[in-house]
Amino acid sequence: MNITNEFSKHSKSWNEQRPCLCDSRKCNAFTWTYFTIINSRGIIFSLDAGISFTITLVMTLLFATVLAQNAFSTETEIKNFELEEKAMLIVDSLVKNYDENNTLLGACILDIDKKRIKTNETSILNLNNAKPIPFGEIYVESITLKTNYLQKTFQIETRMSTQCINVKRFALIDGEKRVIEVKTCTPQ
Amino acid sequence: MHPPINNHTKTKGFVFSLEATIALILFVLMLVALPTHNTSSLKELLILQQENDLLRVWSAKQSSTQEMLSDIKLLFGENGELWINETQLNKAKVAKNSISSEGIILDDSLKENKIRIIVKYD
Repeated sequence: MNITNEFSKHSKSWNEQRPCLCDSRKCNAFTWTYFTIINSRGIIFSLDAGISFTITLVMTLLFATVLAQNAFSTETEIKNFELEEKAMLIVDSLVKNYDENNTLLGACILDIDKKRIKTNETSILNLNNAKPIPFGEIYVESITLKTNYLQKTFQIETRMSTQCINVKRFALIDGEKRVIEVKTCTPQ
Repeated sequence: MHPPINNHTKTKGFVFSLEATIALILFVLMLVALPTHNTSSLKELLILQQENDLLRVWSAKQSSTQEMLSDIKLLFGENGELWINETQLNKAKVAKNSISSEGIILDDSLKENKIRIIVKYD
């Protein structure tokens, strides 16, 4: 089989450029040259394609990983944010409102003469009357009163929790300055 | 006898390498530009509410400068700073951000005191 003639079928230009001579030594030399060029080009092209392919692959993997991580952290963050938001709403209501049925929703002192609520002023009695109340997927576990020297905790509800957040506010409790720390959790 | 090496191949190879280099540069640029996840929180709002609490309590119950400093330390630790009538009474730890609240509180002799609380946080 004449290799050069086989090539000439596929490559007219090659045939035009390098007419086949049936001398076996020359045919071998042409074949060697042809394959050398193909191989050289092929190697370089393959290297380039290889780099591009590897980069594309690595980039796809990297972006997929980043997207997956982002999705996971966003989900966690939304849950944390929801907990933080609700905890802050509950504590703000506790130190700024008055609710006679459940002081967890408002423990401020009511000034009947002035017909107004004394914000940031509450009493131990009011805090003692705090009852558990469902706030969607979260619950208030405890209220703690703190000073530099003492600490008093009112346990509201005990459940198995996955995550808890403490929100601190400052108020007058029976005329004494205290930090009110409310622990809000998500149940298991 | 081996045929001579084609120099043209080298030139083409260089062109391909340039392409690959551009791809690599783009890859590095994209790595730098990868989306970063920003965490959102209500920390600023909480600090503002706590500052407001302090001002509210100090206006309801007369407090000395030492008591005010003690209250700030109890609530904010070393991150709170107190200014009374433009005079700085303590220095907070250095941090990237700060939130300030200001209020006017009357003392026993009905003298106005301009109270400013600055809370620094990262």
